[in-house]
Amino acid sequence: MLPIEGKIFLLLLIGITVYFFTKRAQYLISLLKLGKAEDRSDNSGERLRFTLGQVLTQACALKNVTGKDLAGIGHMLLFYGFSFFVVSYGFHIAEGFYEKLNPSLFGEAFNNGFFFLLDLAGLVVIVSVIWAAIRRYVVRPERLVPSLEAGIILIVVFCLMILSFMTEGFRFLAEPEPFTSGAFVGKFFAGMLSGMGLQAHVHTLFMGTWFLHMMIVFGFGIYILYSKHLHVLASHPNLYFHSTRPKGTLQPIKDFESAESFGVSKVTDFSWKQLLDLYACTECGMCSANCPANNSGKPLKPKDVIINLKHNLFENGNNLLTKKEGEEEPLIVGSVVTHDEIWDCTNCMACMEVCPVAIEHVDKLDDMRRYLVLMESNFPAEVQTVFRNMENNSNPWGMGMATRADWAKDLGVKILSEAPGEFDILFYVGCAGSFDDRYKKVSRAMVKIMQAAGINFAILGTDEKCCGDSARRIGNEYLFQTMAQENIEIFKNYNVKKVLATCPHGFNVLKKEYPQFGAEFEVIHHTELILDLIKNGRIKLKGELAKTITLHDSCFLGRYNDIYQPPRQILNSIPQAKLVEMDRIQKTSFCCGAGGGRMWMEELRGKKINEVRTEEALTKNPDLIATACPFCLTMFEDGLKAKNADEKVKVLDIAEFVANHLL
Amino acid sequence: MNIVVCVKRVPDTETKIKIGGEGTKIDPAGVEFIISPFDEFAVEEAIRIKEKLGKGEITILSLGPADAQTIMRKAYAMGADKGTHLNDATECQDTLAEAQALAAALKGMQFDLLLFGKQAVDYDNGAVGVQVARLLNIPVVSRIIKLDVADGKATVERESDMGKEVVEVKLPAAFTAEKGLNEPRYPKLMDIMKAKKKPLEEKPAQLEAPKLTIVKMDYPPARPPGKIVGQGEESVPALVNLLKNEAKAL
Ligand code: SF4
Ligand code: SF4
Repeated sequence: MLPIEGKIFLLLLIGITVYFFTKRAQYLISLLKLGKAEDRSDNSGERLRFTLGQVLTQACALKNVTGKDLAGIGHMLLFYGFSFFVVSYGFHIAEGFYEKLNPSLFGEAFNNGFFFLLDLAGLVVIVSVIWAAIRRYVVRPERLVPSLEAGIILIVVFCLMILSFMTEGFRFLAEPEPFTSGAFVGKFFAGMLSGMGLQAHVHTLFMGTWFLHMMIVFGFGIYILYSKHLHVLASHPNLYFHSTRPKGTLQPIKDFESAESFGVSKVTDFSWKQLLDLYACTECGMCSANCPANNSGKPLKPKDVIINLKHNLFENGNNLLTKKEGEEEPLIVGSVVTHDEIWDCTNCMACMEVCPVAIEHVDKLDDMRRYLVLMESNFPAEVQTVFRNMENNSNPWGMGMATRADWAKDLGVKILSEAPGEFDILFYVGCAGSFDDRYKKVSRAMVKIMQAAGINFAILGTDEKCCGDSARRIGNEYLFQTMAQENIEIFKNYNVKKVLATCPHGFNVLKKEYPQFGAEFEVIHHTELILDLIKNGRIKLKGELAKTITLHDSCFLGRYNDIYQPPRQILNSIPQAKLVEMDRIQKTSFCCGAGGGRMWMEELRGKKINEVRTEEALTKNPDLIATACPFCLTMFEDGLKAKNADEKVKVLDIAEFVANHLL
Repeated sequence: MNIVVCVKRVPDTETKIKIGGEGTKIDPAGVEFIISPFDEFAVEEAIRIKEKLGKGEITILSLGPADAQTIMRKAYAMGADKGTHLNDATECQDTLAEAQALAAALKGMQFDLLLFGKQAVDYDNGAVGVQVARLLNIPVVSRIIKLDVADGKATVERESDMGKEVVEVKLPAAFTAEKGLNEPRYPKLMDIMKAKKKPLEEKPAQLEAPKLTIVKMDYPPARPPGKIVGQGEESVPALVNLLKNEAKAL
């Protein structure tokens, strides 16, 4: 199609593009290589399936579509439309070099169909660009921050589409034979342009727009790698290398004896995958929109953590690459990410659940906690007592460990530390269940239920130790691992095969994190067990509960373990109980504020998270609030007191609802 | 500046104490032993002084059974440099015999500051520190809440019933630490790791025959259960009556 000069010019354009693109790509890759090693080469088939599944169906972008946020529909349209264009550029380039590539190569029918779809895609892209602009500049959801870059990209894409239609239009006018009958928008443009008296120049104009079009496309290809639209390329590998560890688990530190440092204090302490996360961020702000810290006016905004780390990496990139052995590297902890941000995180995982490109915020924040705790011994002052208590009495409250099983006195429970024996299920009571006066009632309720069902269960008694979840989440991995190993040893000695836990933190850590240290036992949560017992008819519920109940999803039960239905099904099986859901439930449930060791820290910044959540519950006018976690229970009781609603509204654990209605 | 800190292993303060050893000793089964909290203030103070001066050596001295070494390592993790364990499997309960054994070991050591906790929270005698100082013939200030050293002198503060006393002492001298002297640190992991490799010398404690022995231990009498007198204003007279006549508190 092109004259020889045109072909040379096109070659030159391609050459320049390939050069800059490769240069930038190499630079980006060399920055990734500054990160620590991390093996993400397992399960390649599964990874590929996941990535293609997310991208091709646009499930990634659509996952957050709700009544309130239409995030992603526009993205999906833009993605499909623009992808078609990307394919078409290959076609255009080939056409530039070969005479008569079309319509002869694939036949006329293909040609017509192709250009019809291309024009359609162009229209779709225009619509979605306008939609995107409206959402950024007119009806903006808070999470979308309009930026210059976003503006540039939208304008460029818009111009590109118009230019592409103009090129088609001029082509219709310039070529004696219409190149296709499918390009309906191109034809429309041809009609418009033909009336403008440009006949003498149509060929020049066709070539001119064609090249301009191509230059913009190539320029765009390079610009992507320099802009926030890096995600267009980086999100795919990031999805591919997503974590295949059990959901929400933290990685163990393996080499306490030989390591020179622990956790993350400098950007190169992150693994390459944690750095790739930074490239992949789309700046959609979904993470911050769902973050309890951000939503209660605290400085932590997970999106900002990611973006600030990314900017910092790019700012220091050259220095880092040319840094000599032994030269100091700037700290990110305390500057790029502040201590307040690091300590405000409840590890609720709301950010990770909604992130379209599988970014791992919690791992990063907890790695920085590890640095602060293990290397600097720098943490909120009140936490020191908690560590001490866990070390000396194996519970965060610091109650004497000899009193651990006192709650079970006179209940006729098998206590293994007093009399070893046979059992089917080990009831791991946990620290709250053993020492917290309120939650001891839940332990008793659970005993009542299991006794009614005739389950052969036992507790460890004074041989039970703290699970260590709080230590791990606060960053004291050393203390955590000491405790985990001790517990696993005890469980082995008692030949434990199946464990029941009421506290979702203990449940999660025993089930999903202890296997990192060789644990081999099944772990179930009490809501799962109770539901089973109801379904199998081993317990029957009597009486009625003509009350309005609202249910709070615990993060470590819900998002961490996808246990959403059992508590609901249990409540629904109590005659007349009326379950009214809160606005934020299940995957986007709003944390009570106590996860990630925040249970043990003062809440110094912003509003109290538990009060925000309690207010939300109160808008449903419940008589009762149901929880399935000791921390949530405490947080709600405190929240209700703060709102002067503790007389009117009570909080009960799911086990208590059931124990109160046993036949 | 050379500092020696004497520390003792004691049962954790939350321990439910059980009497063992034919009614004369604490039953150690299931007991978590910790560094006595007042001794920990002493260790922390030593480390702070060393950090401030930028030089010096901190030696830990502990008299007790074999597992005293566990708490010595904790002091190492906080920042002490080395130590000597005076092994005493008998768990001597006579403070003077203990003080003599410690003094004997200290005679061979060079130090400017000798620090103790004001008392060990097991038998709570609060005697050893002062006794050791007497045996070594050096000045001693007990229950200090502030310690500054400069030019071969120490300026310390202690609280007494009459108010705050400020005392200046020539070094070498001994001090016993009161709560409020400092907030002990939580050791860094690197320091915990390093602590495992620091030198720890073990010697038998040279204990004379104790002049004091515990003949019998007993639990305090069980506290009578609390009483709910009533609710609201109308129960006030009954409460006053009980406070006056039964509890004799008014
Ligand atoms: S885990 Fe929760 S609190 Fe922490 S950054 Fe994510 S959303 Fe915010
Ligand atoms: S981290 Fe994920 S959710 Fe947050 S702004 Fe980036 S892409 Fe969006």
